[in-house]
Amino acid sequence: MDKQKEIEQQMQHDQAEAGSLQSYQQLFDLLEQPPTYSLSENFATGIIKQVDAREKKTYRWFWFWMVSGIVLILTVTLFTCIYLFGVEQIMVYADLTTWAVVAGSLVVAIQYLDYFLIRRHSTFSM
Amino acid sequence: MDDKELVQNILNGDRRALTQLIGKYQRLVMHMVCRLIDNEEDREEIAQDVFVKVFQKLRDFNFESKLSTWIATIAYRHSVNHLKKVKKQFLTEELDLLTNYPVAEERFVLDQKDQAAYIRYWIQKLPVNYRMVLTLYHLEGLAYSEIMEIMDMPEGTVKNYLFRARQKLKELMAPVMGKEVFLYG
Repeated sequence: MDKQKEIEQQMQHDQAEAGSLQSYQQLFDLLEQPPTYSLSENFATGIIKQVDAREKKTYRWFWFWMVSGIVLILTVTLFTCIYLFGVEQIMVYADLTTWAVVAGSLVVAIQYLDYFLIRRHSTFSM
Repeated sequence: MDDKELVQNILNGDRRALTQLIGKYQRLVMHMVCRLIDNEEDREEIAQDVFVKVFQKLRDFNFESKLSTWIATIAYRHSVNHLKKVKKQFLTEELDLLTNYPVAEERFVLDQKDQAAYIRYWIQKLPVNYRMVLTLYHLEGLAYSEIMEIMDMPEGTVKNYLFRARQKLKELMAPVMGKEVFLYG
């Protein structure tokens, strides 16, 4: 900002008399003085704590919906299969090895999603 | 560290970079918050909220404007929203109301130090948009284009606010220079 030029423009705007020049010069100087304020010592720490708390909350909600979704899908699938094929037919395919593979895959999928959706996009690692 | 590097480091999870950003821009945010929020107890909390918002939106910031302008926009909107919430008058543009201000409780003798206090006092009595334009232009030294972006106003309006606010302050200052005055606290 060119202060002198700005004062001239202001005086033209006001159609002010020449005597106003000093007042405006004084006013412009005063306007550059900051308001008084004080900040607590833990100002930045407080912000980081809030950021952390929000991320944790988001993380918890993600897991809540994730687990809820998986449980819902599995339940619907299971009941649909029972309804369509009957329990005996399902048990033919559901030996111990099959269940272990399904459960293992589920754990790996959850871990992968945890990394991919939460940790990788999280600004602060948990 | 320049702003791009700073932002990238924050997005990569560097807490020290976030602290650095806060340190770099807390003056700007506090100046804006102080000028808009009259209640001193609320100011720090609002400034903290501004930085939390900045952090949350940082991933969307694409450096189309300066980081300072973007942060100032968030600070301005957040403060105005706060004012709306507490239902204070904030968009009145009646500068003329100021001339009828009642007799004061606090006494000032206008030496140089008190002149600054006197002007600060009257700035706080100005309508919000006038305060903000004065602060951004004179205190932060921002260009009209940046103020337009922050306040989402056309250049003519920004200039009008600025000229009228300065004219009003000059009028308020003129009769009391070098005299004892009483201010309503």
